[in-house]
Amino acid sequence: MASTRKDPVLVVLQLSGANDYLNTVIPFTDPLYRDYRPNLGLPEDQIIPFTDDLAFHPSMGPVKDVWEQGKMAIIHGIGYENSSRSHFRSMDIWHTCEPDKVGTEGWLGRVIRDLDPAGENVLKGVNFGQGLPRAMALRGVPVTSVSDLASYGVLTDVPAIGGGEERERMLELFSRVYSPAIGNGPVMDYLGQTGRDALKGADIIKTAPEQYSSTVEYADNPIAKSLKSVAQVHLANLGTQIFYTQYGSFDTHFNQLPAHAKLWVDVSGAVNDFFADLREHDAADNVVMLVFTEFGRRVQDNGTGCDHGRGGVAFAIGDRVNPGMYGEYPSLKAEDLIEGDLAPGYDFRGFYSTFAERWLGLDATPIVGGKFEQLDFLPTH
Amino acid sequence: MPSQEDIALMAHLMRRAGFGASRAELEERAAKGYEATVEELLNPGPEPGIDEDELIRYFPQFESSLAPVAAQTEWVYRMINTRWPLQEKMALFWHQLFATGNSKVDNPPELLQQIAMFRREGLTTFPNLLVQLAQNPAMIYWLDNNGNHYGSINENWGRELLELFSMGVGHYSEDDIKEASRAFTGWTIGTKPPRQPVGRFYWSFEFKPEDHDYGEKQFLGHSGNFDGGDIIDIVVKEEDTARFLARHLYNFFVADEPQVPAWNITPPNDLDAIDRLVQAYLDSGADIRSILRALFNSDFFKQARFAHVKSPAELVVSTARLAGNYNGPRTGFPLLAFECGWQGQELMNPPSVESWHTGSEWIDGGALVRRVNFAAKLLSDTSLPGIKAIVAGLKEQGTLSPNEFVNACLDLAGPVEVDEGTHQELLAQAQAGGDITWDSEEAAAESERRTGVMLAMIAATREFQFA
Amino acid sequence: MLTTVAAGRVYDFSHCMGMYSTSGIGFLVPQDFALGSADTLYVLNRGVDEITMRISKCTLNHEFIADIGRAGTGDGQFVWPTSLDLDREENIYVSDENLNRITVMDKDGQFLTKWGAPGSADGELNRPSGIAFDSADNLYVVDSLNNRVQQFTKDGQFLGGWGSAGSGPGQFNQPWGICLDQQGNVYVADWKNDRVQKFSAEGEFLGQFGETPGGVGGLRRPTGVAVDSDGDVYVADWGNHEVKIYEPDGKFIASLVGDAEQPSPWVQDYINANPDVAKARRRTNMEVEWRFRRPIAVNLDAQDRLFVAEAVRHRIQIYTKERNYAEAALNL
Repeated sequence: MASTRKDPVLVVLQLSGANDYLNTVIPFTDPLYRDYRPNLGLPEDQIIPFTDDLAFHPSMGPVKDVWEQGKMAIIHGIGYENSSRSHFRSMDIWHTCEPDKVGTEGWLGRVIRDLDPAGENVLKGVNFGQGLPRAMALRGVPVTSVSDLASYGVLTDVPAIGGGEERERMLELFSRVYSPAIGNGPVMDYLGQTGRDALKGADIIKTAPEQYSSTVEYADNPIAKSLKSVAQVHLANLGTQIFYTQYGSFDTHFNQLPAHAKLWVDVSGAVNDFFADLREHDAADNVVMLVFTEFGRRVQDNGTGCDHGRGGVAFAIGDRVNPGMYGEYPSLKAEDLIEGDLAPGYDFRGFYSTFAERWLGLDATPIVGGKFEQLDFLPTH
Repeated sequence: MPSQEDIALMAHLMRRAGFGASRAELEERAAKGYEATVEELLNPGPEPGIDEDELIRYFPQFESSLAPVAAQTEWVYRMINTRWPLQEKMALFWHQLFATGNSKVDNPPELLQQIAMFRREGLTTFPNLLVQLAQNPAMIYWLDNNGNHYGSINENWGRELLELFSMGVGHYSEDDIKEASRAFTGWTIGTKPPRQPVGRFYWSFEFKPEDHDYGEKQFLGHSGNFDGGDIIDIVVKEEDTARFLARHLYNFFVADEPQVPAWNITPPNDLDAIDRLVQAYLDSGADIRSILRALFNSDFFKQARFAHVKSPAELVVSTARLAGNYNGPRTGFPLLAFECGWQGQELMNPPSVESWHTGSEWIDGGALVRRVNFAAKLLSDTSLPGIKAIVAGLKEQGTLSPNEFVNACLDLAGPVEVDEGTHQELLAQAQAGGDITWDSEEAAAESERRTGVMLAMIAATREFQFA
Repeated sequence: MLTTVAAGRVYDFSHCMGMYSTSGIGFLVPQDFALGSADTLYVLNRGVDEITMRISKCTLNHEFIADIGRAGTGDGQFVWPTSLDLDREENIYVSDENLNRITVMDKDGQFLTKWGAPGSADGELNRPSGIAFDSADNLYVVDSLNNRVQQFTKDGQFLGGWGSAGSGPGQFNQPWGICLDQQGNVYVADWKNDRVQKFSAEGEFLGQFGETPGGVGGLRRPTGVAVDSDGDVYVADWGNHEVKIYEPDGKFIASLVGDAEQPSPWVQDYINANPDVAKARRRTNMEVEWRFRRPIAVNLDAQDRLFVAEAVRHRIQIYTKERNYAEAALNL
């Protein structure tokens, strides 16, 4: 890469399905916690206290390490007014920053457009997962979505095509049948250009795993695999500034105790391995991770799980993060709950704005659709 | 014996009025004749398109799942297996026009009820369809008519009815929107038990007389104590409505048009064609079947082969039908439903009430790679019944020169029409392997493998992206 | 309704069990169930996806015991599990219409064995649906797409069978459920022929249920059948959302339509924990919830209590039967 300055990189990790705030960052000294969670209250001898009043879920040992290293900010009571209890609606609101209407533009789509107005790098934004999250969708902004880095590309899963040479011949043929000479009208030309760009993008991104080597051994689960792919692409210096990935389902209506524990084992381990990997390659200092979920879960458990709620918890993780806790843990008192849910005290669009403005150096107002309170977990740009 | 041209024209009709057809079906239909086939497509019989009981026997989760993919899977199953292809294609047309999304409704079973309504009513008249739409619970919730009250109107439904569902922007005033909204007050959704914890219950339309504004309204130059039905009756008699629907039908069935927001400033690509559809609308009293009959039997339709970029649903379903391995209940349908979404058309979750952008806007780099990989994988799998049939069709023709081989593959996979440059490339690929022969077991196996590769390459061409 | 009176019998709704749940307490799209010893209940849940498929083991006293089995093609896994029965040792047998096999597990869910091969020759299977043990612990298997009933030893040795495609006596059209009465006669829910057929243990046609004159008591796509100690026959009339009751000779006597006015304890707990669900239930007429929706399997316990599982309501409704009931005078 020609640039000597390291561009800031944002990695977004979405916890899909609504992560349970109360059992993630546990207000273990509050007697109301035990009252509300007769079946789901986590035993005091298993939780991991990190302040006098708060503890992490027993599965979050690696997160506690990150906290102790001073590389993590906890954002309490995040959400928005009139919070929707629908996963789809709420996730849509988080993706588009449009709480009052159905939005079409993703906030990260706008971020990517502002980072690369000419759309020169199709790898400016990369999603790991199937399909494109609405957060990255914006007409005219190319984003690359990779379901599996190892098999990404054109004609990769056609068993009839033999190995090596035959595949190479096929790709050359593909490139030629998408060449301008064969074009016939604007739509055909557009298709041709798109096909050749896709081939080129795939060629570039496929080099990432080939260049990669690391002593970090990621666990065998989907989020570890996704974050390893993020690390591989980041380390290949392809100019990607926005990474997106998700894990779930955190929708623990039933049997929450084992399910939630497994999810946090996976997430904690993967996040910790990811940053260790970057540090090993001296590539961590320009990376910050945003961890969010669409809403928290009901305060009162339902026997074996808990149902959809409101206010949740978000995290910012990275070497340049000003560590600490931001915002207030919402009150558990019955009179302060909204229909049995924690009342969100901080608007998520302020959280986004902090990343957009202080980390990426962009004007956050048009990105999140207004001015919202930013927090000091990132230094002013 | 139908001619090659008859087959090509029938293939065109079946791609547009359905989701494609196998060679055997094309030959059968071509023997019956083009117009007879149009009539058969336009007049589905009384029996359902699929065996509804079998559907639930083998996929009982369809009656209980709350997940979007279950609803999408059920619809994709119907698209592939229906005996009434145009009925299902019209459901897709109306879904793309009256775009309603799970991002807000958060209730896939109710969205599927809306699709079922499109299936049931989709070939009746436009006024009937708009009334059904106005009374469809998912639509009421999507456009907030449950919040449209006597004395405090919510204009969302009234506005979109005029702007996106009938007349198009610029042909009515803001006052017309307000008056139309008043007429739809009290059209709401009845209560029902919640969807958990005893399984799901369906919404129903409810008219609340105490919440309806019975006063006089002024609407598009008419005045009276209109209710919603009266508003629809007025709207459907407007020529702007005929023109708006004609352009949508043309864009969906004939050839790609500019996107809807540009319609005010960009004239139709084929004004004569639109005029003829408008005439059919006016002559028939907005009878959908009559308009479609005029469309499918017109020269402009017959000449519009490969002038339409396949939507993801069209690409996925027609490719699966060609491969022939999704006939009847089996596992694997959810992946087809997901595939539509991954290619950019998540069924029952359009990006907004303005629906998906169509034509070349279906395609970006990621979508193109997915389209190519999906189709190439299925069409190259010579173990699948539809591909086996293609191999058998080649075998019947005996030894084939590379040129004959390319042409026969293009023919049996569609027929797909490719331009000279593409043909040259496919030919060069075929020439590298020499003649196709079947005279020994080894030769037949290699010929079968090469057929798979050739079909993969055809699936990867630009031309394959078009219907 | 709560009480259904017919021909000297009274059926009283007792209570119900279950709720919608993706794991643990509750069921999800139940297909079949069986009553074990010590008041245990095994419910075969198709689930709504691969994650939620399982057998729920619980007690009749609403205590959850375990989730058994899961989706997949490996040992002890299912793709389209359809029917479940228990042998004398209370080992669990499950038919799978997709994998064309019978899976056997012990009562704790430990995989023991599997048998069955796809095909149409003797002993081969094409979508095995209903299964039922006879008193000798041999297993009858409804081989639905082969339109026949086959009998196997419990380790899968083919013993015999009968049936062919069609609508005449002894012929079938995609049959589904099966049960035996106390005499060892075999009843088969002949699904697409809209009837239940009765056979001797050897397959001799003895009669049929559901084709009654005048159309009363007719069946639509029946899925399950059970016979009580009096010989009365109960049919899960899946397509009509009812349970039809017939006298041993085939005479139709009553329909049950579902009476779950009182929610199950699990459902009640869920409502208590979810204020907005409680509100949504309060603002509407709940009668629709009491009624059967896709009754799919029926069983009787030793006291002739009737258990009805509903695929779309994720629950089991339980009825008691009173015999020798004399009506009170009409002019009271």
